[in-house]
Amino acid sequence: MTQDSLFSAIEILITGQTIGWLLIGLLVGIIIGTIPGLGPNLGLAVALPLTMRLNGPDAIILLISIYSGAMYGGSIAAILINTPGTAAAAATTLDGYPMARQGRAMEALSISATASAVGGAFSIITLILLTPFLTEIVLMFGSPEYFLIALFGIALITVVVQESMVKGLTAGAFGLLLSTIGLPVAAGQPRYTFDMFILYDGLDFVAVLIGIFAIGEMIKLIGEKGSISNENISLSGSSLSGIRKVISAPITTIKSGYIGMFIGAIPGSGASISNFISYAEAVRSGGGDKEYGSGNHRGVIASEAANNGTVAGSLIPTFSFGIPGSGATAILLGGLMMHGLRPGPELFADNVNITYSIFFALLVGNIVILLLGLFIITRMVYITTIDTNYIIPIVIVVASLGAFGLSGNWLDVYTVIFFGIFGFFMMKHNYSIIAFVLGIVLGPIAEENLVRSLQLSDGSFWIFLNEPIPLVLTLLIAAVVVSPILSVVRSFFNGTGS
Amino acid sequence: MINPIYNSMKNYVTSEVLMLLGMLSVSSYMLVESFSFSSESGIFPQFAAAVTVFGCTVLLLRGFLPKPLQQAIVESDGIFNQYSGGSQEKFNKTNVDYDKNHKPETHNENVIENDDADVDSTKQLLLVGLLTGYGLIGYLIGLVWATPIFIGVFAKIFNFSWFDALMVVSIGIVAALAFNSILPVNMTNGVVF
Repeated sequence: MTQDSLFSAIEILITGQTIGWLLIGLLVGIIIGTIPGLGPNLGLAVALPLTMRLNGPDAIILLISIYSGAMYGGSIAAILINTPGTAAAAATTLDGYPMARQGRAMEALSISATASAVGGAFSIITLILLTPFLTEIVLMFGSPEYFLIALFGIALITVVVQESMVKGLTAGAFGLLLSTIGLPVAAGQPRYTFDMFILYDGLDFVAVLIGIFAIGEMIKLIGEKGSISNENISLSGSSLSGIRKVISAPITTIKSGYIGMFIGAIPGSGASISNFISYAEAVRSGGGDKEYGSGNHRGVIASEAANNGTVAGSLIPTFSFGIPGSGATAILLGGLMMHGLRPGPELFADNVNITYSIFFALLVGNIVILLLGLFIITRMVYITTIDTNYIIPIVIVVASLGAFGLSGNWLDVYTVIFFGIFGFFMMKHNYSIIAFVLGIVLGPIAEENLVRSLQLSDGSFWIFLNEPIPLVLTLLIAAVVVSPILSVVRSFFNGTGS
Repeated sequence: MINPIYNSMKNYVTSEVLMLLGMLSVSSYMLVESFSFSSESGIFPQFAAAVTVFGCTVLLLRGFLPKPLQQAIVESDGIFNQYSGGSQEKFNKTNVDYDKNHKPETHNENVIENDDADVDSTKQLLLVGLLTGYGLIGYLIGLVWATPIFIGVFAKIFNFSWFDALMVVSIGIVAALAFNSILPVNMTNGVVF
């Protein structure tokens, strides 16, 4: 069964235009990741409607290649101008930029490409090996478990991200609420439509994603002063030396890739967290080497291997339970659903060959990243100097056209504009965008599973407590929600509360 | 008498408060309305709306909560912070130091500034206005024809050179025509023509 699926996956990957979409996705991703202020979320949101004409596997491979490419691309600006192209490359600046200033820019860039490729490849191979076990786990889950895991995902995001828990829960619940507009999953009259036919299908979650991740980001970006970098970049140093440095530090590279993978698998955490934790672990295991922070190549390896390892990790909860680990995987989840690929048993049993083909594409993508990184990207560094003010109107135009192109419905364009503004204010005041997006995307699935569970139990909520897995999930949700209150009680009794 | 009240209102009514009031109004309406649905259709919106109403109320009233509760619930921090070994703080500090103090020896550089204090809200407001205008004009004459107008006005307001403006408008037109041909929707028509 697994062998057939693997062969079928390879067939999907090598036939038709799939490899072409993979290459396009990687190039677009690397360019978007390189330009400070943009990033994978924007690239994925804008590309999402354009995948409408593609078949499911090609569309997801294109999107996932943009994601993977952007993870690597972020390091280029981090190394050359001390400004990470994406948050995932923030820790790369700590040693990458000092290396560039010491005349070792080429070496740092090739370390970044090699470590990204090796860290990413190891984590994706592990994911492929883990898939049969994941399938077993996924098939153990039924409607009550899927409803609870959606709630658990939102709850977990609120404690993982560096934001207020109440803000996160409120944002997630508001997302769930807005997903109820339109015809209900269960039979019944339309909800919150004001008798307007245009609202019967509800808000298109793709339009909401485009609004938040494209328009909201642009409103934020235009307000940032001095967004032009005019640094004179001197590309000196040796690429070969960079490859040798990564080969001579296999433990740091592989360990960092796995740290990224593990952290990526936790909903709400992502590469923006994993690169710092991996960097900290490299410093710790290096015995507090004072060279860290002043051009130690292991610092670049740790950060870059981790952020590409995160991509594979983040696919575990996204594909198996429909719980994205980051904004990028939330959009990816939207892409899966747009193309009729539902996470869970459908991806791990009925369409496991498609799932494997996506994983193989990521593996091939990591090899391509290495080649592009070593031979082409180092000659395209001028991208880091592009003034984002020129990009803003283009992104807005492309986002609006893409939203209208979803179904020719003007509601989608206004959804993009409204949620762009709303998303901007959420970002400005530190409300969890991921929790909100997760609520909107997962709302229909969560509701369907809730209704089905209650139908199975004749309306009794005991169905969420009378089996081991639902019971554990319910307890975990309770623990996540109650833990901040318990910490207050603890600090009060310890006398540390103010 | 009026001034202190006005000042305290002005301090309290921030954009966050307005956003929360908006969310509270929407969720309260949806909560009330959900009781008119059948039990199967109503249970999920009731649950989601109740959590939203509760959360918005707590956030709006957070100033009145006891300090420890406020810190734990409203100002809680990410669980991964303790594991980053201070490298995140180091990154923030490095960037601040770099922004403030770094005098390049061989480089000529202007550095990106992401500090909240340096946010230009006038530009953001202008962009929101332009965006709304783009949506409206697009509705009237079709998005393809509204695109060069939007980018042209954007370029004028944000002082692009003629050459840069022409380049960006051209890219916008190409993108609009490409979307019009790729996606299965006609974007050249609006309600006027």
